[in-house]
Amino acid sequence: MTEHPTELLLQIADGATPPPEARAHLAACQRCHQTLEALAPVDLGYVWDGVAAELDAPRPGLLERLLVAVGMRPGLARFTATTPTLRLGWLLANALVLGLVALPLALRPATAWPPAVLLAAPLVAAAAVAFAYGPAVDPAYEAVAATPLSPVRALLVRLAAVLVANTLLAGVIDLALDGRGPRAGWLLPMTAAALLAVLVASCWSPAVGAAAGMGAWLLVLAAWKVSQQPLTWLTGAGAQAAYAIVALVLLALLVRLVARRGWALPGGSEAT
Amino acid sequence: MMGVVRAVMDAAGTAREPVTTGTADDELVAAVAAGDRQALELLYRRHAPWLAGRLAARTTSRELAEEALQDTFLAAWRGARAYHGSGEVPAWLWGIARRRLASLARRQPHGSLSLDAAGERVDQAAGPEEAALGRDASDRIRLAVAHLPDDQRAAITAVVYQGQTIEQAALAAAVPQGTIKSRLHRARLHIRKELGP
Repeated sequence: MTEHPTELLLQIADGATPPPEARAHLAACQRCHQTLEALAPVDLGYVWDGVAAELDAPRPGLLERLLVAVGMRPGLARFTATTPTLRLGWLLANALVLGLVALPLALRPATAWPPAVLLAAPLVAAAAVAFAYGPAVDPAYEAVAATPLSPVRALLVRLAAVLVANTLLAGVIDLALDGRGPRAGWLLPMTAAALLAVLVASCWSPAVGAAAGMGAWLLVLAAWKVSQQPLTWLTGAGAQAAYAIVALVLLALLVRLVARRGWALPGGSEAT
Repeated sequence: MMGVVRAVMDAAGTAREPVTTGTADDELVAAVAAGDRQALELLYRRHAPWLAGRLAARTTSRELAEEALQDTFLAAWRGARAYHGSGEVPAWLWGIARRRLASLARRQPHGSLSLDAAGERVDQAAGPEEAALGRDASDRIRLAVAHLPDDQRAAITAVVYQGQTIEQAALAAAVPQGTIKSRLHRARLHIRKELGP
């Protein structure tokens, strides 16, 4: 077909399927295509741009797909999955730190030192929280900053992700290497250290938050060492209760801070 | 929108004939299944106009029609391997499109425009409506065009019969582009009315 099927164009624009003999002409003919675009009830160029953008979009990773599969909103799933401290490199570094601390201590007499994971897990978690969110560490920060997710909420989402990842990691190493003292005795101090890091980060900056969380735990360890208390001072039921109380107090302070000041980080804009 | 025709390799690394505007629908879908973006563009160019018209006829929401059209070609890209050549490609595409439209319409929040609210019908069984344009139908459309008010007839003549762009037609008639679009729209309503159901 070389002649332009003018009347057919009007019918196609209304939804009629072009007959096979006309299709090749319509696909090849710039003029007919232009006419169809002018008559189309939708913007065909705009729709194609949307198709192309979707095709060019990076394919969601395993973690992101998993989070969506369990019901998380796609945007939040992407935000969570892009947590810098959930990247393989960071997790391997965490495993290395925990392993390096745990391995030599696992070979020592059982009463000399507390469970190695207990020593390292709070430090790792506090550091991970600080590096989980912020312009300096997050390559997706600009994109995240443009979404309706406030900085402190973002930090809490990432905190949850980091705690889950570190709990799994520390749990595996605890089972594989350590095995002394109560199982998972590091969980509460790790949570408390991470919460302290978030609280301080909410008031100052993620880096200061990390320093506070790590410093507080190092102070506790130093106090135990200097006081020459028995190991149960760090690992016993009383210690666990103290960690739990501290964690709850920190959580309450965080809730109060958010209630009073909103969801913005210092120096940042309110996003809610 | 169209890129340069180039040699393509399928998923198995075998060289295939590059797709062109003359490539049959079935071969285009096979090329899409092999991951050929050029083939998807050709498929879009060939079938998006009538799909858009048909989708738009089933909803009064332009955004819904656009979203359904976009989803249709994304689904075609992802599901082209499932097409085994049974039935015509337009029927396959329309099957996807009407399912996407129905699905999107169901997700519309309460009180907003939806297919049901608009009294529109998503035809679950209908296949593609091949345009059976014989000389008689063409004559009837020409007659309907002749009966249009002057401004609308001028817009249809410029865009459809003379192949001008909206911009060119607007420039020639010394009116804004929006006016030409609106005249085209009203002209098509007139023609549709004159042709009857």
